Amino acid sequence: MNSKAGLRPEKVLWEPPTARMRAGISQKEINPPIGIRTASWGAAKKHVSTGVHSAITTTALVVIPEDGSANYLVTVDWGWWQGQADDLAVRGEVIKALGIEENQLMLHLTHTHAGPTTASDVAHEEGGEYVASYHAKAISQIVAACEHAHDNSVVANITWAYGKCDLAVNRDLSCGVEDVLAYNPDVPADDTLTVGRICDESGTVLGVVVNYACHPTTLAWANSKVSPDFVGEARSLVQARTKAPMLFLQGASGDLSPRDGFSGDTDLADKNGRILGFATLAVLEKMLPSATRIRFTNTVESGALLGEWIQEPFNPKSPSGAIRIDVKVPLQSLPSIEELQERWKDIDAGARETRIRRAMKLRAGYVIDGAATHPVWIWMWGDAVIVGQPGEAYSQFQTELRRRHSDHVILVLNCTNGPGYMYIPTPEAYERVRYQAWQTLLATGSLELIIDATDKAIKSFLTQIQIEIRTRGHE
Amino acid sequence: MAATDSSNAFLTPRSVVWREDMSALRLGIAQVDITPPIGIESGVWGASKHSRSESVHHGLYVSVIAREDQLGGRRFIAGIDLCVLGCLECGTNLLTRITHELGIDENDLLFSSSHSHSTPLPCIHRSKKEGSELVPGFIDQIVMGTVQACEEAAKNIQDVDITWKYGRCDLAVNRDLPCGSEEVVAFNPDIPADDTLAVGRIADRAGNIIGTIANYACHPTTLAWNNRAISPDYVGEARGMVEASTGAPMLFLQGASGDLSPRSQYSGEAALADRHGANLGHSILATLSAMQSPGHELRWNGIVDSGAQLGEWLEVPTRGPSTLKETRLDVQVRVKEMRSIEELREEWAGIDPAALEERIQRAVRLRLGYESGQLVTHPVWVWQWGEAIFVAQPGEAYSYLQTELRKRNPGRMIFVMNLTNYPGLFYLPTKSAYVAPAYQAWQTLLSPGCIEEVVEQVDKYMKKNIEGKKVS
Repeated sequence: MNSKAGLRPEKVLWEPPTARMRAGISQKEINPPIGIRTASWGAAKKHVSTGVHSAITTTALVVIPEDGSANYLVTVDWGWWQGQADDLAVRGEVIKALGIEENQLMLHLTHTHAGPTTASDVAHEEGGEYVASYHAKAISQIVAACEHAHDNSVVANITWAYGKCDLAVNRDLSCGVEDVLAYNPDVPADDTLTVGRICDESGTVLGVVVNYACHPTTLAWANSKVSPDFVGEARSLVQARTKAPMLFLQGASGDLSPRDGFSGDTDLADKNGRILGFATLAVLEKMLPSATRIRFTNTVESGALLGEWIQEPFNPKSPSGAIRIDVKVPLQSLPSIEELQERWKDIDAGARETRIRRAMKLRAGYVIDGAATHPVWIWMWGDAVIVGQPGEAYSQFQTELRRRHSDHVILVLNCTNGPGYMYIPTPEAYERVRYQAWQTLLATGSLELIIDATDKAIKSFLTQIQIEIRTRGHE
Repeated sequence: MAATDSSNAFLTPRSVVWREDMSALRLGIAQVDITPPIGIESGVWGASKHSRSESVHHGLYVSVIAREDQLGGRRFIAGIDLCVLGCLECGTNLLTRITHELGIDENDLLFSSSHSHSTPLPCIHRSKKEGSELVPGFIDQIVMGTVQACEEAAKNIQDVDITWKYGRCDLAVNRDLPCGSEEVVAFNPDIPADDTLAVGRIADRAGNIIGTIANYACHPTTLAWNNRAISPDYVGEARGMVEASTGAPMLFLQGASGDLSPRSQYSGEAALADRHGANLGHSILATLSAMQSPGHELRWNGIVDSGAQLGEWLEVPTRGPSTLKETRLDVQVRVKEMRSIEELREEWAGIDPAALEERIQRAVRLRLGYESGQLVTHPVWVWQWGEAIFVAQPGEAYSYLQTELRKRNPGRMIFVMNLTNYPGLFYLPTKSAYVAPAYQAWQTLLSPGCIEEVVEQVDKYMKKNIEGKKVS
């Protein structure tokens, strides 16, 4: 007889963060032709690809809530948009082909710096002749992935978990009077890794969502192969074990990069990928089986008095929703082309040209009558909130949102939709005149405004969903 | 490709060299299979209704690292797939036999149990159960296997570069769960667990990995009374994964896990132990992947003008320090006022007879040589190998031992080992565990304050005797 059989803890149930919804996932290769223009690095002497290191892919995850309007979260192993025209030339076509509203799609770039160019205005430059047909092929494959995901969607249970990965380091390095982009050993980096495992009702893994913040800048000017950078090897490792597609989402990595990078060595990109891949697999192993929770059931008199938690099935939470907010953001005083030429007159001519072209394209479609609004998409899937925006926010964006919403799993995405393809740095970056502060059009304080507005929207969104849940009576 | 003609070439960071903690030593590593015959009494669970093992889940191993000093003197760290060494008499005999065979002093060997609860207990003083007749043979096998592993490791001694790194693993959870006025040993979701993973990668001078050391704190209690297989618990799968990836043996060292265990445990399902092992194994592989190349550091190479102003760090060869400083501290701790065996029998009278017998046996054998209120010494070995420090002791210390030592000594690479050598095989709980009251506080013979005293003495020794990291 166990005289202590009645002992119970205060809380007898423990549930992981979850979501339950109709979902489908699909992945397609979109490798560009050899010889296509790349042009991510001003310091490169050649701007065309000589091969494929690891497959360039697009991965589409569709989620269909109860009201039936599908939302698509789609990643592409490309770098970044230089301007709105480039973005819309692809995203606009995908929206049109799928017959959906703009806000039903988050088109996310994984931010490789070894991808084919995303620019649509480079036909006259070396390798540019391949771009239009490649983009057309990529669009058709993105659409195909979305349709395939939709057609194969099933009722799915998602389990969410945070893990840790120390691939990323801080990359704002003080060098006397100036900061440069390089590993800074003195400032710790956000190491949060967010993982979602999507399973069908039989528990079979359909796909894995991975959100991690780290600039894919392992491969740089000395590399001429197209590559998803570290994302490729990480994805291969995870997919080999789960036998299901992995959707990688680049986090708020404005100030984060691998410690070892700026290389021409594709093996180094694979090594960096293994850090993320193994860390992701570790998180997946810790998860309970799909749609299960644990219940404290009884004590056991053994050598010690033990307590048993037993797994039991449960229906994960199903609230979902999607909103978009447009945050008014202050702009810096914007220099003219002549002023930029004067500013960079002493650097390599190729590098100067790259910088000026980027600066001009950034403004188009974003700065209107001297003002700008920054779009943020917020989707809720069960216990997780997915926050996507087009900029390259500093990691404070995610660390602060996670701090303020510790009862939810927060996924934060840079390089998603547009316009607003620019850094969103902290005030310190402006004080130190870092690259990120002069690349952006935004004035200091913008990051904090975007954080506050997103935080407020999440809070009001969650309140609204709770009211709806009570009214509709589910959960 | 840093540009020396850049107008910004003058820009340099405060420190132009960065590297992980490293050591350049003369080391060898070896591993020997010590899996006992199926049928041996295995497992240490009072709630178990059977004693004879029926299969082998993963084999049991002893893994040894031998180090050699400039005068040719050798010392050894052995990690073995055992729960504990058994009673004081059996444990002492076993260690004496090993050190005698090797011709070394007792302080030349750190013999550390991985703490799997699904292994035979090498003790001949337990009550006779089915399979116990095979235990004496197993004890011989442990002795011979360890001696063989030490000798092979010594033969394998060569110049090596070791890289040390902390990683993270979330296998462990806190296992002190308040249930009204008592605590039971079960997952407590409200207290975060120490997730530190300490890893050492040993490479020969050609840069080939010849061994891995992994130190992590988590009770190997996945498998329990319903399991009938001999198993290293989660350590087996973790080791298998790492060894398959590196092609070299892995030495697992159980950390200060008195209050830590897997979230899901007390199972009969070997696949669950493998999932836990895969969690730890992947975490170790992630940490290994994050290390710089063996024998290399990063050196500032200058500025590159690109779309942005970039700074280049390049890997260049380097060598860690070869310092060897090894000592034993005898920390004074006080024995608590122990309740008599009769009182314990009375208190536990209502529980299952097998569980009662297990507890009484443990209590009787544990207290041999200890008297209430007596001041006794708890041995702690502090070994500095280059830029890593091993802190090993025989008890089951709470994770406070490692978190506090690491907190007080930031930047230092500290490995903390429970269940190493003898005597002192009892819990070292924190003061708060005595208040709770937790199982560990009534199991131990020591008064409140013992772990805090161990921390004080080790910290004091480290601050006085171990120099800081020097980067050229």
